[in-house]
Amino acid sequence: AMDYNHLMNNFGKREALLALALTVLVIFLVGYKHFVMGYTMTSVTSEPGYQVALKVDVKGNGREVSIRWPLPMQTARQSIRREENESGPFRFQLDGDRRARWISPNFTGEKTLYYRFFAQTQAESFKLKSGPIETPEDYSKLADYLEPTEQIQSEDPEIESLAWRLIPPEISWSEGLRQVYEFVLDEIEFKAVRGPTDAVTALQVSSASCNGKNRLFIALLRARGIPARLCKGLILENTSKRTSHAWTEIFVVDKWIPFCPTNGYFAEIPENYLELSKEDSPLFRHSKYIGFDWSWIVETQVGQMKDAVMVNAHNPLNFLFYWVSLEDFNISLNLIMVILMIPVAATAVSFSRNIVGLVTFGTFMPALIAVSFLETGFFIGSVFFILVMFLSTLVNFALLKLRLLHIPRLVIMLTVVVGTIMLVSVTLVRTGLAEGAAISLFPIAILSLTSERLTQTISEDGWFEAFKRISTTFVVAAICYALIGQKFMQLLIIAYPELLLINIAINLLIGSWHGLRLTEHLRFKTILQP
Amino acid sequence: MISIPNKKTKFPDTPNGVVGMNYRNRNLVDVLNPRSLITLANDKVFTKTTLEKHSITTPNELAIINNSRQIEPIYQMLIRRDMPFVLKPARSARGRGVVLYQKVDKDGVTKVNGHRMEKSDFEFFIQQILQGEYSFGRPQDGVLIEEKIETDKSWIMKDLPGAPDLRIVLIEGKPELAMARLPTEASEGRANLHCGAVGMGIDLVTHVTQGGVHLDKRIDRHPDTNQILAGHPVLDFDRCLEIAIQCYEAVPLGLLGVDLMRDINNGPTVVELNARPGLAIQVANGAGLLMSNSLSNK
Repeated sequence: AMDYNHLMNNFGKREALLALALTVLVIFLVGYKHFVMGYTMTSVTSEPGYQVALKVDVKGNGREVSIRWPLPMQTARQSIRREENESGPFRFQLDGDRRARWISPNFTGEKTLYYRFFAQTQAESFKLKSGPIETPEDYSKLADYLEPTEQIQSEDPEIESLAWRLIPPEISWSEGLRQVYEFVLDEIEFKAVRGPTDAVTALQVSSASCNGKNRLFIALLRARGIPARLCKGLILENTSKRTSHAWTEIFVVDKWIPFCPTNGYFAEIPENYLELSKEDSPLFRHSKYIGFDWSWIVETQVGQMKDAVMVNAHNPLNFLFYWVSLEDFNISLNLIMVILMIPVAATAVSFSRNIVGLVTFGTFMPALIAVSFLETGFFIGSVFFILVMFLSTLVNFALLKLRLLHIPRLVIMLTVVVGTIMLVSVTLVRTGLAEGAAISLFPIAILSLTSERLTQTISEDGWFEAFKRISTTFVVAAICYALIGQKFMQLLIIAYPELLLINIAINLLIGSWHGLRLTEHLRFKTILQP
Repeated sequence: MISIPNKKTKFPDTPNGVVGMNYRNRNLVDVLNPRSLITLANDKVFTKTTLEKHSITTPNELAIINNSRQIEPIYQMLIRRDMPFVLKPARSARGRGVVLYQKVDKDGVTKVNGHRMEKSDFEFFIQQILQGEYSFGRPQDGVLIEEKIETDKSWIMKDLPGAPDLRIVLIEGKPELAMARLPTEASEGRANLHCGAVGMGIDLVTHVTQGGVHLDKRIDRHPDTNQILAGHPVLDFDRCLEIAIQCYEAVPLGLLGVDLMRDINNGPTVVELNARPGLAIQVANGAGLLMSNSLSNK
C-alpha cells in the first residue's frame, strides 16, 4: 500500500485529473457511437476484401446470345456480398444454384456487361489425418471423382504405375499425398501453354498449365482410388486480367482438402483464391457466332469499411466517412492508418524513455522506424535499418576526412541512404526475398540524422556506447512495432480516432510522473538503500 | 564565515532525497530555472560577461569570434600572444567541441595532447563551429577563446593524468552537493564523467573527499593510479562555495551547477555554469541531492 501511495504521489494532480477527464470523454464518445449509432467494432474488424468485376464484351449479329458462367461460390471461407448485375438489354437469370446466364433473344451490336461483387475470403489450412491411406469400400456418392475422364486419364498404364510408385500401399496420408504433390509441383514445369492440357500430355512433355498440372495430379490420385476434383477460380490481385486459375481438392476421410501444385499450397488455400466452380468444364459457355471477350477487374479493399461508413454516412462522428472521402483524392486508408499510428508509436517511446529510462538516438526515431516497418514488414525493415546504419556510418567516417560543412555533409549522407535503400529494395525483390512493396516511406532523412548521431557518438563516447545506443534504438523500434503492428490496434484507431485522446491522457500521466526511471533504480542502487 | 541562503520551495518527497531525471526536469529545472535564463546560461559568452560584472574570476578572455572574417586577424593575434589557449563553441553542451591548444605559429596549431593541426584545418574547424556543428538546430554559434588557465594539478591529489575540476550543485543558492572530477587516461584529460572521468564526493562540512564514482559505479581507488580516493582535504573549498553562491546571485538559476578549476596564480576560477547538472554527483557523494530536504521534512 505504501508503494502504491508513493507511485500515485509521483503523478501530477492537475495532469492526472485532466487525463481522467479525457478518458471519460473518450468513453462517452465511443459509448455513444457504439450504443446510440450502432457503430460496432465488428463492422471494421473484418479482414480486407476485394471489389471484383467480371467484364464481358459481346458482339452480336441478330441471333440469340446466351452466356453462361458460374457465380462465385458462397462458402465458409468465402463470402460474396453486394452483387450487382449491369447487363443492359441482356436478361440476367439464374439456372440453379449460383449458375448465371445472360441472355438476349436477338442482339445486334456491341455491349459491355458487368457483374460486380464484393468478396471476402480467408486462408485455410488443414491438418491431414495421420495413419495409412484407407479407401472405404462405399464411395458411391463420390464415384464421379474416381472415374477417368477424357482429360483425366486415371486408367492410363503409365499414370497407374507412377501412381503406385508415388503412393505405395500402407503409406500415410500426409506422406503419400506429399509425394504426388511434390512430383507435380517440381517435375512438371509450369507453362502458360495453349493446346491440350490433359494428364497424359502433361506427364509426357513434363510441362503444363495449371489445368494440365492439376489434371495429372487428379489422375494420379484417382488411379489409387482417392477421390479428387478440379477447382476453378480466380487469384485476387489488385489488377485486371484475363486468366483464371485451377487447383485440386482431395477427399481425405470425410472432407475435401485444397491443394495447389502450381503455386505450392499443400493442404491449404491462400486468402486470395476465389472459388468459382468445382467442375472440369470451361468457365464460360456462350452461343456460337458471337464476339466474346472477358476479363476480371479486381480492387483490394479494406474490408467492410464502406458498409460501416454507409450506415451513418452523415453523422459527424463517423470518422470512417471522412477517411473514405479522402480516398477519392488518392489518399489511401493505409496512409491514414499509418499517420494515425504515429502518435501511438511515439507513446511507446515516451514510456521507454521516461518510465524505463532507455536512451535512444533522436526522440522519435524509434517511432518513425516502427511506422516504416508497417510498410516494409519487420524483417525487411530490420535489414534496411542495419544496412543503412552500417553503410552511412562508413560513408560519414570517410566524409569526416574531407573538409565539409555540416549540412552539405548531411545531404551527401542522405543521398547515400537513398541509394542504399534503392539498391537493397531492388536486390530483395529480384532475389525473391520480398514483394515489390518493400520500398516505402522509410524515414530517409531521419535515418541520415541518426547515422550522423551514431558517428558522433562513436567518435566522442566510443564504439561500445554507440553500439549500446543504436541497439536500444532498434529494440525500442521493435517494441513500437509490436504495438502498432497489431491489426486490431490499427482498425481500432482508424474506426475510433477519438482514442488518440487517450494517447494524450497517457502522455499527461507519463509526462507528470517524476518517479525514478527503472534504469535509475540500478544507477542509484547504492544510495537508495535505507 | 560564508552565509548560506536558505531554500524556499518545498519539493515533493523522493526516497532518500535521490533525484532522478524525471524529478530533476519536472520539479527542479521546470520550477526553478526560467527558460530564458537557461538559454542565456547555455551561452558561454553571456555567462562569462555576466560573471565578470559580478567580479567572479573566470579564465582570461582572448577573443570572441562571431563571423568568419574575424578568423584571420584573431589567428594573427594568437600568434603574437603566443600562449596556450582554449577554444570553446559558445553554445555547445557537455564539453563538446572544446579543444585545448598548447602552441600556435604561422603554419598551424599544436594541441595539448601533442597533435598537430594545419592552419587551414584549424580555420575550417572554427568555420564548422560557426555553422552550428555543436549547437544542433541553432546555427550561428560563436567561438570563445580563452587563456588556458594554469591548472593546479595537485589541487586535490598528486600524480593525476590531468587537472581536476570541482562541481558544486546549488538549489536556490544553497550548495547541496559537491564533487571533484578527476580525469583518467580513458577520459583523455577531460573532466566530464560520461567521458570516463572519476567523480569524487566532498563533505561540505569537513571539505574532505569521500569515495568516488566511475562510469556510474562506486569505486574506492583511482582506476589509473590506484590512489585511495577518500580522505583528501580540498584546498580553498570555502572560497569555492562562496564563489558558487556568488554565481547564483549573478545568474539566478534555482538549480545550478558551477564548475571551477584552481588556477595556480588566481586561485579558484569558474569555467562553466550548468542549468541541468548531471545526477551522478549523488552516487559520488552516496547521498541524494535533496537529502537535506527530506531530512528536514521528517
